[in-house]
Amino acid sequence: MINVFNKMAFACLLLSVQIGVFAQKNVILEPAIIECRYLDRSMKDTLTGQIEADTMILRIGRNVSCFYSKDVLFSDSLKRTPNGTTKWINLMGQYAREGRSRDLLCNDSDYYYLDYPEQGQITVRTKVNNKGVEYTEERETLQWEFRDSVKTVLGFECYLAEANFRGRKWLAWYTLEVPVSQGPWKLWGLPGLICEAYEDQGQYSYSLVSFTPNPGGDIMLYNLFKSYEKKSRFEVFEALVRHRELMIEDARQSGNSWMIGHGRSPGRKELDWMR
Amino acid sequence: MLKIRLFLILVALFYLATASAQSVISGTVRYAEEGGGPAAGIGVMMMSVDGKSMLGFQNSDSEGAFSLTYRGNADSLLIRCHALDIKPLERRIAARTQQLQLVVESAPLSIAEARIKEPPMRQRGDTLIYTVAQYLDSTDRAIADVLKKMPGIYVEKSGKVSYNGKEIIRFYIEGMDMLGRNYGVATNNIKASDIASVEVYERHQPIRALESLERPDQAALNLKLKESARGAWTTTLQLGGGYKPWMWNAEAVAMYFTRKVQTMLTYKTNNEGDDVVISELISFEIPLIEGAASLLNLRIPSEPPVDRSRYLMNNVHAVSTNVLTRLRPTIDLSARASYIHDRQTAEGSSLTRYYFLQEQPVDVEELISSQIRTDQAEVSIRLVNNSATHYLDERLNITGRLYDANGTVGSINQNLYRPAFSIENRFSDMIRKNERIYSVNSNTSYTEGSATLKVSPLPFNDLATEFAPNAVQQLYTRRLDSQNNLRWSQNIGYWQMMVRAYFNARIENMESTFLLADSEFYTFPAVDSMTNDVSLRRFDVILAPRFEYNSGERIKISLDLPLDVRFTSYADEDEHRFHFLPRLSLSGDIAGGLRYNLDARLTSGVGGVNSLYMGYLMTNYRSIGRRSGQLLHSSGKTATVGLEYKNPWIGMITLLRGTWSRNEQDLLMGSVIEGILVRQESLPIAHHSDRYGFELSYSQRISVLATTLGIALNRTWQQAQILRQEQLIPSLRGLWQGRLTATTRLSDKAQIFYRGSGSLVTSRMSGGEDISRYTYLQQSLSGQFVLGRGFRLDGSVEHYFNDAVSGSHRHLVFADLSFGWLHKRMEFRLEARNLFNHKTFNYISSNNLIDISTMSPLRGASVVLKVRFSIL
Repeated sequence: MINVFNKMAFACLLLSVQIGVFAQKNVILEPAIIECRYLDRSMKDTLTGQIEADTMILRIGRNVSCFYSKDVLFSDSLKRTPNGTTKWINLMGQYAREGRSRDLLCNDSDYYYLDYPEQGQITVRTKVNNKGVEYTEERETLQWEFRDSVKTVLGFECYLAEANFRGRKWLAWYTLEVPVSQGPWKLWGLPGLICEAYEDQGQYSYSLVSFTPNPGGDIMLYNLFKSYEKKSRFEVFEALVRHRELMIEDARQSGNSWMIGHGRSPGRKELDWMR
Repeated sequence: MLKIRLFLILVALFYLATASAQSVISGTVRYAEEGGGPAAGIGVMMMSVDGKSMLGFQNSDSEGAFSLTYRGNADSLLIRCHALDIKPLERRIAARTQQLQLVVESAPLSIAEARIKEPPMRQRGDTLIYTVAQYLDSTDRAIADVLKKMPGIYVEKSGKVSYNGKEIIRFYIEGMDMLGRNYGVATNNIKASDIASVEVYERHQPIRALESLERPDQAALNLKLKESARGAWTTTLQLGGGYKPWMWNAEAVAMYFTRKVQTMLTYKTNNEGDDVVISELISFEIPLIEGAASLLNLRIPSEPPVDRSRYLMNNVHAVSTNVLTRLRPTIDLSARASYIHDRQTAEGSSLTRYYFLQEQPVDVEELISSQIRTDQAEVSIRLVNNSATHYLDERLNITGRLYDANGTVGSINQNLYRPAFSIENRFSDMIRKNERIYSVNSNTSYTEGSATLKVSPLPFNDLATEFAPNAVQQLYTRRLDSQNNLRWSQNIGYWQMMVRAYFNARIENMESTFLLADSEFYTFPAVDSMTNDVSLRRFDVILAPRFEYNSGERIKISLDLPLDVRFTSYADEDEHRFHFLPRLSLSGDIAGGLRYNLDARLTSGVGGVNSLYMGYLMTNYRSIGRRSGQLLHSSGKTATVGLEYKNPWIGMITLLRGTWSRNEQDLLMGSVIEGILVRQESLPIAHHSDRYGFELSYSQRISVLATTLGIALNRTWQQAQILRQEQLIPSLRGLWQGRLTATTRLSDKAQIFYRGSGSLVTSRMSGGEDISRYTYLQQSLSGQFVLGRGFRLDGSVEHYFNDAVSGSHRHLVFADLSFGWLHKRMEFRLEARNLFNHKTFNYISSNNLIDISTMSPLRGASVVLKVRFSIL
């Protein structure tokens, strides 16, 4: 496993080696008033039930919110420091030896800017083939159906609501104690903060594990590349799939069989592909 | 035509009816201030009038507009508006289509208070991470107190840690192995509040050069320090005194941890029964020195199964120093030195019952007292280079021990003087070239010991005379042991091929003399039948190929095919034998946290020089014996199959394991009991013993109840043959064991612990009825309560039950109370022990068709005051 992680880390490194060199300054959008951390669980293998988990951060401002992986932000930030790439390689090597390479990796490496650049819009930034790409679309209004079920999540009294989104049925537990209509990933539109959400197949879920009001700091627009090519959501996903297929083919030809079995899937983006 | 009109009328009525059931409630939200401008992003909820059901929701747009559709039959609805920076607004309206003008007032930003929660444990690859804060209570002192609450982790009083039923192989502090197998001093002394998290590496490979090539099924534990605990000395002192009898307790502990240097210094002394030697200073490996001259023993009272502090009369001084320095990123140099001076006195009476095949049992009653003084000094130094391509491990350990014991059994005096010395060097050098490993390993030790056992008067009437009523048994042993191997291995994909070549040598010598002595202990010349001078030389040349397929979590299968050519030489005998000892291991993940493992192997062994002596040897005051002069050969078969399930999200770890083993030997030790005397002799009778067992354990952290629950159940059967009074007795021993532990945090200021264990032991001669059947139960309930202003109260109640014991000792209940006060850096504790003032403890145990009833005196009700304070 560690061997696989080492190789995966190396592949990730090749993909991101230029980040630190050409990146632009980050842009402050507005002060953050709430920081939520979600445990993001993805079933990696539906046959074995193997689950991977990451910590995702939702920073909420008065007008704009941002949602991203804690570990990915750490990795990307490290690479932007002087000799950051070398530091990242060393750290990845160390983590791989300690069997925790996932501390620098994540199933979802995208940065989601909610209600940005305009209210009701969403901008997603990611990288394809070592190039920055972004797409902006209207924030889809989910048709939530409200249920009477009640439960407590992280001490918040939560209510259940259900909606179909991108081809899957999502169940969300929201709380009226935090009157912001936000949630993890692209889930939103409920009368309060979404504390827990999962789709009915059990493959993906988010659970609130920490809630911090007035966390300090700002909501940042992270510029990790010199520029971001604007595309549509479908174009981005198609480019990702094509890139992955090329990597697998390349690995197959060079005899790196590990990549064929262990190459990272587009993960959460698969859900975005659903119409 | 009329029908058509009627149909159209019905359609129109239906449309009107439907239209009336769908109401559109729309409008705008405006601020009361700022000239009544539109309020954007306000949550507008449509609810049932009782506020329990959400019927619709929308955020107001940039113009403050909203529109909600109601489909239902209610007369009235509730409209609520909320956002972070407005006063919540609520209005009851009629359930009909209408336009609303909602005016909200601004308010200071108000957010629910911060809450942080983490799962009981997290998993990253093969690493389980327990956040200490999740388990830490204000009453916890040492990290062992917290480890006990973590699911899957079991901590013994000695500080030894097991994970999921298997002892850990490494104990790291910040990733550094300072203490080796002596880590009990860390678990019992490092402050719990200094630790940020505990990491368990489930399949830990301590050698970096082997990472990605070999993943052993062995766990290791790592303590991650808080930032505040790094680079600062932590020093605590404790002084205490008590009565009755007069008691003292003092200790000084100093620790310093950085990423480059770690050190830990301890000094402990007490006479209150706190056995710091066992709990902190003894290695969890069996020290070589234990084997030296340990054939001779003083008959001492059996230890009852209660906490040692209730009966141990000691006077111990123990000092230890541990230092580790990281010379380079991959090179660690560590050193350890310890000295122990311990005096223990004990008294007790016992009744030993020997069962026979067709005779009445024989009872032996003994009233025993003993005084034992032990002095032990140990020094070890270790250099490790653990890089990705090179592993070097050089260890030198020197130990000296002096054991001086006196005692009486009734009117018989016994004295044992047993000095011993050992030196051991372990060397390992390994080089990795890509997927290839070359290594050389050598472990060489020399152990020397002598023992002198004096008995006065000697109870063997056929040996003792009127002029020589006493006896002296002298014993001297030496052993040189060297185990060396060369290794080559190659990994290709998921496969590994390994070949190891061993050359092992062992040279042993044992000399003994049994002497009769007069009343002044002037000895008389020994006769030949009472002396021994035995040597044994043993050489093993082993070629051990190994094949492994390891595809990560899915499956790991390995096959060992060692061929051992063993040469032994003793007396005038030379022999060589071939042994083929294959081993098959299989393990892997089935799905979602479920893991299986299977292991089957053959083993082979030969006896040591201790099995060869033909002259009589007195091993204790009432036991004398000899061996046949033939070398003992044994062989074994073992099979284990297990299932493990782990779910970090709910903090649950379970284990189910079954084991079968058979051990075959070509010599059988027989005993003849004559009154109180035991004569032992080994005879060339091939025999075997079988053992079957299964164990089930379950451990879970129930976060909602702040409780950690642990359940374990064991069942074993053992069949063996016993030679007693020259008759072969097939015996069957059955054992049920169960354990239940629960720790619960009642509040931030109170926690309780329950620990219960029970066993049912049955012994029978095959085909017959149970000749003994004992049920034993031990349970304790303790609580820790913070009273405020630095005061705390600890209390515990222990209950013991043994159904073989009659009278008032069948059930025994102990109670202890402790009152503490923490003021700045000082902590005062007043401990009241054994409140019911029990003076004795009766206990019956059973093994190999021998029952032993023991009565042990206890320390009565007593009070101890301790003052503990931090210097730095």
